[in-house]
Amino acid sequence: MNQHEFISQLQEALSRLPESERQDIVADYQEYFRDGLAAGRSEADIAAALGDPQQLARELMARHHMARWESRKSVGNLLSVVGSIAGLGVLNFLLAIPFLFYLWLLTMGALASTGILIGGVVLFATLASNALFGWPGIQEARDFRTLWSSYEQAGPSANIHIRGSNGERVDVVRDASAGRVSVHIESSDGSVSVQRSASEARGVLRSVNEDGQLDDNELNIGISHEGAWIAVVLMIVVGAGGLCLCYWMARWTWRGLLAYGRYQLGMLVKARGLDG
Amino acid sequence: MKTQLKKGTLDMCVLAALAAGDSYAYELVSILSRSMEVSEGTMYPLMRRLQAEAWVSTYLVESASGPSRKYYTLTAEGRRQLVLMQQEWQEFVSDVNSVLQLAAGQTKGEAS
Repeated sequence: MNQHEFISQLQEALSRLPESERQDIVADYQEYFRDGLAAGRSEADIAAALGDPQQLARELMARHHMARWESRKSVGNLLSVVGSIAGLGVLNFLLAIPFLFYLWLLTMGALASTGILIGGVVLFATLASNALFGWPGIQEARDFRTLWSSYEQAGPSANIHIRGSNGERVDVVRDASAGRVSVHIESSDGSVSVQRSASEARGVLRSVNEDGQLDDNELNIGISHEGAWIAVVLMIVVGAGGLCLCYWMARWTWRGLLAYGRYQLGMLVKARGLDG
Repeated sequence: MKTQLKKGTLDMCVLAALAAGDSYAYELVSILSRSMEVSEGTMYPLMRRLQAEAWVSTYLVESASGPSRKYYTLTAEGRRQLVLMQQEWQEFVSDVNSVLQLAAGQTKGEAS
């Protein structure tokens, strides 16, 4: 290999470096060739002593990427570091795949935690705003057990029958012999009816579908006030905790990666030292 | 073993050579290869690493015949580092020497 071949291979392999940095490196090698030639050596001799320009360039690129990552930590810069270390040919490709999978998992974990945290904070703000200003209104499912206890206090024979102006009806009827109360809500055209017995923890929603058949569905009772607050706190704790964990893991990952990169560069230098 | 020892101490040797006076890459290699075997290929990445550590800095000197030449010079931090490395090296050498002498004495004692 003569000087021209060495320099052009180096230039080619460094094409992704910033122009000024590439020219600086190339100028240094040209200077080295000039000095070697002045000392009476042949171009081939000097080129052989300097080593493989491709490998040299890979090492310089890896150092460049690591320096850039240390000055500005972004996902793109991190990927450049991973790529350039892999390009050194010392990082086993099979090792790189689980590592990238791990990075992906870490990213997903961080995104999920962020989502949960944001959800928790939004819900918290909504609940707090509702508690303080009564806005926005929150539709809260009536707890039938509360209704039952107030009904009980009202008196043993106080059945409630409410009739709406459009024919809707609400009935609260106590069956003393069975020791239970039932709540019946029905729409004017009979298409929707809710029947609930207070001794049970679930209600039955009956709706008449278009074919005139009755569907029995379990009626889920909406989350209670206390339950909402607990859920919100849980969401914030889980979200923030997950985010902290991901941040901590990411910190250790990039520290480990840099240390690994330096170690691999050190191995390279040692390997070349043995050659030379 | 010899290669590993050399790799660890090459930084110190380069810094020491520069402490004697500013120099350029080819001259540095020549100075070092007078007393030790140096791979020319390791020199340039090594110089860039020393620059990144801010132990050396560079300046260009215009020459009458042809393009300018890059000189390396020690920084204040580089001088401090060199003193530190030299101290560690001396301690290491004297430790090893005393172990070797002790071992040699024991061998002699067993032989007699």
